[in-house]
Amino acid sequence: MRILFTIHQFFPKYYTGTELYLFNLAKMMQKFGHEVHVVTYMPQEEGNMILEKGVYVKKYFYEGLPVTAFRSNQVHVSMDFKNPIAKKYLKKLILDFKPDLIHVAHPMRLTFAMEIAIKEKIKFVVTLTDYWMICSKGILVRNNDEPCLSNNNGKLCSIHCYQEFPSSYFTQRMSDAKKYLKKADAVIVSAIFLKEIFKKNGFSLPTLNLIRHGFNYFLNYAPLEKKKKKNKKIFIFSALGSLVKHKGAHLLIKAFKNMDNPNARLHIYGEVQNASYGKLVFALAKSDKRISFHGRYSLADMHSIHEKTDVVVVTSMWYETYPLVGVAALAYAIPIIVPDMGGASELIKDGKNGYTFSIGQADSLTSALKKAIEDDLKFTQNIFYPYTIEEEAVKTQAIYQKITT
Amino acid sequence: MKKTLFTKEASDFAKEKKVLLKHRNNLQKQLIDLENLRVFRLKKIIMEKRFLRATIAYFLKKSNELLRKLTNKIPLLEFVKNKLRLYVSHLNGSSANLKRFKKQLSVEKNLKEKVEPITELVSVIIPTYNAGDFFDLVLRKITIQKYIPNLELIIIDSGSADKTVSLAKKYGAKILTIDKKNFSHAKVRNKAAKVAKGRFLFFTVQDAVLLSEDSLYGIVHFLQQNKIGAVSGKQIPRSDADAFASWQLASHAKVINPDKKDVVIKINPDEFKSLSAIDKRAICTIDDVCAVYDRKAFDKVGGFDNKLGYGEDLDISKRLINAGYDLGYLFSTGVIHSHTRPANYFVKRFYTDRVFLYRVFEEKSPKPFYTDIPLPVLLSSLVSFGKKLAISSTNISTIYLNDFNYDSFSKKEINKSMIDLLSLDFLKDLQKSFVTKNSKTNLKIEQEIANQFTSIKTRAHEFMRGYFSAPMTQIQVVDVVDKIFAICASNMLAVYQISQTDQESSEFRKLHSLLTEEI
Repeated sequence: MRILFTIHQFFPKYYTGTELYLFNLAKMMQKFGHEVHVVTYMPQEEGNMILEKGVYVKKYFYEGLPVTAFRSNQVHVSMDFKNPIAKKYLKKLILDFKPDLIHVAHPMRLTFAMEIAIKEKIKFVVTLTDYWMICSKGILVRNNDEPCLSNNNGKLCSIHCYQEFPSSYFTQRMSDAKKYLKKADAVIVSAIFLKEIFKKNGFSLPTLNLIRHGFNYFLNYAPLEKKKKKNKKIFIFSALGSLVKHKGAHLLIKAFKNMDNPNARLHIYGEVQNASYGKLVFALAKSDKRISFHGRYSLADMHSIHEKTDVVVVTSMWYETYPLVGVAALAYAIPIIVPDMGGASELIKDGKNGYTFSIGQADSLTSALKKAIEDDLKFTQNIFYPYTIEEEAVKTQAIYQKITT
Repeated sequence: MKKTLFTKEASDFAKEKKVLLKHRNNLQKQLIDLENLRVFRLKKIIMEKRFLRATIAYFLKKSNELLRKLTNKIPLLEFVKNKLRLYVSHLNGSSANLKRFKKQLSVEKNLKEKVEPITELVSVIIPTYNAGDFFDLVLRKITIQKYIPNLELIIIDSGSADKTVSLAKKYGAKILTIDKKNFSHAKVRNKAAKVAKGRFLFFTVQDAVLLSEDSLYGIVHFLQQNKIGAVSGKQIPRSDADAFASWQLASHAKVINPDKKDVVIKINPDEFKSLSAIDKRAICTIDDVCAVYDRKAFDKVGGFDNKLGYGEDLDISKRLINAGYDLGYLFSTGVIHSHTRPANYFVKRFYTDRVFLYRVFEEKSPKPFYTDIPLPVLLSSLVSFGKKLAISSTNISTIYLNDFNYDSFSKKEINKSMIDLLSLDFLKDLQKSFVTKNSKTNLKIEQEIANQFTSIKTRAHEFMRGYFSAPMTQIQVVDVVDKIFAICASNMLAVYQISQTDQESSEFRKLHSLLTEEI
């Protein structure tokens, strides 16, 4: 089978959740004997791009995966479904590759892949890893940081987030999104919560499938030996992810500072994405010597990070869909603390493999941190994450086979 | 005249205007009425909804305690309660009740998922020897299997020096031991089967991870539903499997299940006997990497044949068919299992497979021309061809597999520079065991190997197109080339061995012994 994957951005420059999901899936599809090609958008200008048919193109291989990345200079491309020049180029790529199916791993920036698939009568699968088809920001958080569970068919977007755009722009956007997803031969989600939100926003998804994200147990992984702490009293919390506001590092720091336990430590891993937010976070943490920042990390660092960690904290301020950071922690048998709303809470059973706290509430998070220290990892031995990337790929392949035969 | 006309027209126009204005006023009035009506209706609807909402909320509030008590006993009431809550939440237009949505959804899902569990005992049997890091994952996945409440875990260990046994104990396994010297695939499994009390026997291996939480249920259920003797699940390559390992698994699955479906294999024993060895192989689907046997069928055919050092599953498949049982193969589920092994291992492995295939199915080997040629000449020819591959491999940096040409060298270059081929090294050692000085090579044999090599390379490339859409490094190409050469060499050696009339001669016994050592 010839499978063309589309994604809004890709390795090596972009390396977080959705990129990793696609990478694992495409590699497994190669192992199953399928011919794959990844098409991605290049959000920022980069050297070595060649001007071809009005767009800047870069063709490369990433770990054995053939990738075509391109960009056009059209504005609003990140929130819009329309980009005629890019669409024309993508159509050419699709027609040249002659895929048996197109798998849209994330619809942003190359949304028109779905439109082309419908017009050219090519089967297509869409994976929803966030809420971008409903919300241009993808995270359902308004400009005033309030959550937005429903945008009232797009009518609220121009009121709460994009005052410079007319309401009709977003109602049309919602209408297009519904049309595309309804026509998808299969839609894949990793969390029940995500499915619910789409239903709540009026999406009819007749071909929806729930497939949990798997963990890659056989690459860059070895089970952690039972911990022998140098200093038994020290208790380490770790947070992994980009330092952006909606990931909630500031909330974690605030909650952690509310806890005056001198033996607690907070390690924060991840890059600053927004300079002013970075300043704010560093300033918040400055007065507390128990908090340390460790910068960018890679998949190869996961073992050593988890080896040094007692509990991983996911403090997203948005309704996180299914955080791979939490998946990795559970695979290493590390308990996690997650918000009580959103897909993240589907990862755990409170008090059995982690704790939940009221989303966005520092006091509630402080209580969860304290509880974790009190329990002192008493349930660590029972923690197990059962889903593998092999299972995820087999289930996805079954969908491919079902729709193409 | 004109003036009168204009006056008349003006008068008519004024009249029309008056009528139109009257109409407009009427319409406006109607519109206002309609609007009032709409507002009234909306208000009424809202009031009704509020009333309904308030009534249901009141009812829920008052009956909450009663419901809680009842729902503990009757799960359906929990579902009804959540449905009502969902409706109230819908009327509210509130979005704050997503937790309830979630709960309702899971209840709904549970009601839909009416799976009948397997009530009988299932015995899981794993032969072990220094099982390694992933054994914990293997055991974990077994112990979390859904819909199999009665499961016993039996480990039969051949003297592991690592934490294999302690890990198995942690998961409540029954531990059996066997002396490593007495190990055979059939013996260890028979010994464990004797101890097992299960109605179903699930044989697997220490590095095979069940695909999902309901895989074992799926396999046992399939066996039970179809009343068959034994069934195997498919093997899925691990994420770290190399191109060759993935191809091997896919080729195996293609032979035994070309339709990529869950199948029951029904064949009459007489019909089975008339098939070729290759066709029989395709029908004997049972593989102890992931196989469930009906205990009664297993006992009826006397379990595995203790005399066999290898291929006990293939043999029992044949005997089950001869005893009138159907077999099964599942495409939908199975285990994650693959090995990335060196090429020299594959020379032995494929030889053993091939020889066993002919022996177990009692088929006479074909007699190609090279079976009449002395063994040292065959070995020299294999080594000579291997050297050509090794020389060709020096010329590449990054290429596609199909671009690889074993003949792209000048003969003068021979022995000047070569890439290490592990299969070639193995064959050179084998050659030394049979000749004291260099034997002549036979060009016809070399041509035969070349033909086989090209044919297998084409098939491999067809499968590996996905991999090779990116050029590979020299190491990757050489690895695949090395292993394809291993297949060709082992095939020829197996056919050669099996076709000899005097297989008990010291030369052939030695060859067989060297090629089956530690497999």
